[in-house]
Amino acid sequence: MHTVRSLGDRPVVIGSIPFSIEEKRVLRELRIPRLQKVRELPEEGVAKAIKKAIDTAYTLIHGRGCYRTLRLKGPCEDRAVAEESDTLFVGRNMARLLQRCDYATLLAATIGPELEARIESLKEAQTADAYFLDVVGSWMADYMADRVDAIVQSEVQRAGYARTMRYSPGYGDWDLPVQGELLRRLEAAAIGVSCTESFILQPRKSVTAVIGWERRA
Amino acid sequence: MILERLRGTVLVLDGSMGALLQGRGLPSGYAPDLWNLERPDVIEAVQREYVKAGAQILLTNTFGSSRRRLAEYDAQGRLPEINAAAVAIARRAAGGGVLVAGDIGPCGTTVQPFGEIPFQEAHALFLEQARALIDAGVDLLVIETMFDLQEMKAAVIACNEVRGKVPLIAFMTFTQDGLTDTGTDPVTAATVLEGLGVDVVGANCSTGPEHMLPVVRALAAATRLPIAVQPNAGLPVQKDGATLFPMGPEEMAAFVPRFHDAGASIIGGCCGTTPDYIHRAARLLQGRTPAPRTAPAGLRIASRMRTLALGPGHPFRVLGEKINPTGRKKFAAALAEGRMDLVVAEARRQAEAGADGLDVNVGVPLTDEPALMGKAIAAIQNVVDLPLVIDSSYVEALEQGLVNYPGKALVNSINAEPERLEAIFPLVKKYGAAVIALCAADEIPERAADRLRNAEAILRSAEAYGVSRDNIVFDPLALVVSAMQTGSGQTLETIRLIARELGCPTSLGLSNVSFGLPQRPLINQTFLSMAIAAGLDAAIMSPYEEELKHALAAASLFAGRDPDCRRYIELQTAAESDRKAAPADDRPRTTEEKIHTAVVEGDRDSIEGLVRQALAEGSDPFRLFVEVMTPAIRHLGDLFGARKKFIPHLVAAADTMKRGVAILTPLLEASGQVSHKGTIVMATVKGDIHDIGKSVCAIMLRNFGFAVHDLGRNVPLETILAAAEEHRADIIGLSALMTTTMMQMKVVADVVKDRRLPYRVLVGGAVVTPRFATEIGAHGYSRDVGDCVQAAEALLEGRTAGLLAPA
Repeated sequence: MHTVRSLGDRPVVIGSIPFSIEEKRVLRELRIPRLQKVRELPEEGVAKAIKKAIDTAYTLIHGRGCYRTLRLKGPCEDRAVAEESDTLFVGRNMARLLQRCDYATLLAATIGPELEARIESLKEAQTADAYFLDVVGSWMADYMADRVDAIVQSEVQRAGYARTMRYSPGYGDWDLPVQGELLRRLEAAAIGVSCTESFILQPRKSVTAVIGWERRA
Repeated sequence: MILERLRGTVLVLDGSMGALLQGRGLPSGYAPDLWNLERPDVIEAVQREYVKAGAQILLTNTFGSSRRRLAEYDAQGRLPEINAAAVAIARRAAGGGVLVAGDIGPCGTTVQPFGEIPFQEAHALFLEQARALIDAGVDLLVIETMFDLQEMKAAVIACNEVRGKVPLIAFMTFTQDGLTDTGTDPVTAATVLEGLGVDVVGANCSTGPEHMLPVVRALAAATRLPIAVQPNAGLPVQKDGATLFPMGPEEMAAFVPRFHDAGASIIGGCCGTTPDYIHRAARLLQGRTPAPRTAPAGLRIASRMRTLALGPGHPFRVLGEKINPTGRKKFAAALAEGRMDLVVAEARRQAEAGADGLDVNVGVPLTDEPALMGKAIAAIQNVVDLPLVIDSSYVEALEQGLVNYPGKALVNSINAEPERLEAIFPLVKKYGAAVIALCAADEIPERAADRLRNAEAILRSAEAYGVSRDNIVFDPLALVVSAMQTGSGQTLETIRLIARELGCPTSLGLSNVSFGLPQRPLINQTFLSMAIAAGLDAAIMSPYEEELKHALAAASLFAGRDPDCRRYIELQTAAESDRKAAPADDRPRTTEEKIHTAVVEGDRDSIEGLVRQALAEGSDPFRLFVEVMTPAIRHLGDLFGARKKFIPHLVAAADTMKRGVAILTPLLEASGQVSHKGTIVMATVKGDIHDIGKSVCAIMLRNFGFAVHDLGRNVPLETILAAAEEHRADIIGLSALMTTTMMQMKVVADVVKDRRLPYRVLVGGAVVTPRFATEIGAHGYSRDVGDCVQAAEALLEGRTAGLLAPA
């Protein structure tokens, strides 16, 4: 396990995640089928608006992430118990997800607050621009989570485990109130991520999740 | 002597330490490094086994013996002691003839700009350990299992500062897809590490031999340095509480000759290997000499993720010139404010336009240029993976750029002035960069022969500073043709002379040649073609000008830089397809038709002008609204229903129509022609802060003649009811995006029902379904902006919308 960075006392922080915004992917997120490039759209006005959103997003996104791996003691019926906490991985779904796992990695990723601030400022007067930026931002928050996920996955594989799916608060019976503890254990304030009283992540274009380290059959 | 041995023979490295120590009682989770002090006998016994098995290089048991890693066990104060003990143990086990390599692992965190701690902090951590190992008398240093090129760079620079002539082996670790965790490929790793002056490049850990073989081949093809390899015994598997490595000694031994043939001349094992594995490798390698390799030569630069070769035999390279504040007020002002948005936008645009690398100049007077350069280099790497040229007159700015750059940068620039050489060559050497050398000294010589003399002086100086000639590209100095016409001929002659006499590549700044003349693009194209014919390898130039790109592609054909004319044909094919894609001019002719089309196509830029024009031509405002724009957006709605148009079209069209309607509204109000279809109070429910989809629906409903009162987001029940009463609403429209907040919709629906209020409740949002809407007793469900108008119209007529039929 000497190559598992995230087992230390402190989370691993990724202060700046390189990214690219794939036009094809943005078109899919906008539910436009088949096209590969924005310029293939026959309506110039629409194409221009989407391209502008992508170009603007490049200047406003600052991807950051952090992750930390916890040792698990074992599953109970209604939760999985970590050495540090029996209140984090609660719910029957979570118990099932982590039942064959020795470790679980918490992760958080964000695109930062700037894109959201721009959406707010555009919302009234330039609603279409705000809408397209919103779609790009949501996809890119997932993208940042995918980048952190890929690093976690390589740690999982190096240690000889299989990974579980990535599971986020709000899925199934893993209720949103867990966000507070999850963010605290991740020290997510270091990457600027917190949550509101109603457990909505701030910045909104952020993702939190867990990945289990599963023993192979 | 040791270096000769590394270069001239095949050597066997030892294998894994951790598992063998655990077999001898090391508790799981305990630091093996502490056993250098607590159980030196056990460490020595393991290492003796490796020596007996045939290992010719022993790694000290110091993988985690740097300050931050030891701090995890509160042992940071014992760092010198632990490292010294490890070297002494290995020396005892080695006896004569076996080399002792001081082992350095990752520092325990990530390094900026990708990671957490500043480069200098990581550098200090490595320097402390490297010094302790050197002081203890190791024969060589090994940096291993590095996931990130920037961290490796900090470690190599630290080792270089203390190692003198002690050789250095640098191992990166690559995943199954052949890249490091942070996306570096083997060719780039080799390019950067060779630039930094390591003696051996290697790959270790992470994967088994089958995945490491292609990595070794790629490393061997990319560098002239010896190659080392330490694979795991296959990919580990966790089973029954133990880490098992599936590949046995015999199976793994089958890969040893293949590694040798691929170019590896130092072969050992990593996780899961034992003395048995090493014994078999040693037997197979006995008497072998390093496999012959074809060494690549020439100048290469690299980003973290991509390598660019520059010189004869390679395509002409375009280094984008646009990240430069000279003569650009807005760009300079943004930099002066410390803003990087325009830098990032320009980087993206140049990459999309096909630049091969980007010149980065942030020289704005009266600013902290080193800080700006550091920030710009970090920001650019987030959005493009092109190699960068770090361009400044200030040494401090160059260094700050180099510190934030994990790849092999091109420094712009030096000239033959002794002070400049003295200031910049040490930086080039330290950070493993390449450099653009102007063929000038304190002034620019007129004659090509004198420029060549400056180039020769620079090469001599480079040698003195230990900078290889492969890391120098000469700038033959393009002069303004309107000022001195003979100067350009001398520039072309300098290109030829440098190629012929020195065999070095050349690059120049193009755009200046045409200064002061009309039709500058024509001058630039012509000069570029002539320079390419003379042998120019690259230019710092604009990647945006199409005609310049075409001239470059055509000139490259004649210069023999485009085998099979492939690049030229690709460029022409792309241009041809763009020409075909241009829409035929079957556009509408009357202004009203144009307004209809602008709404359907979401042309927000034209709509206001068109509406004003139509009014000036005498169109009736009410007619424009009811008979032109409304049918246009209804038509779009029909196309949406037929899946010929999609949500973005509706969104852009709604916004377009909104702008047109904004011009008409005062006129309609003045003429008393405003009649609202109905009134809707809209809100995102309490606890929820998502509302962009709802805002788009509000615009669409307004476009269709509804009076819409948008209360915003996180709106409590009481506020919604008060607004509905105040505006005599027909409909309350509710939005929610989260499962936790959507139940607030039920609260509103219940109150409306219980108090028998005269409102119809319409719900929507990403998590809301027809079933949910039906179950909570809403009157209507709207899936998205495509059906919100229909749904609202149905509710006004007393019908429901989008609900499940009763069972």
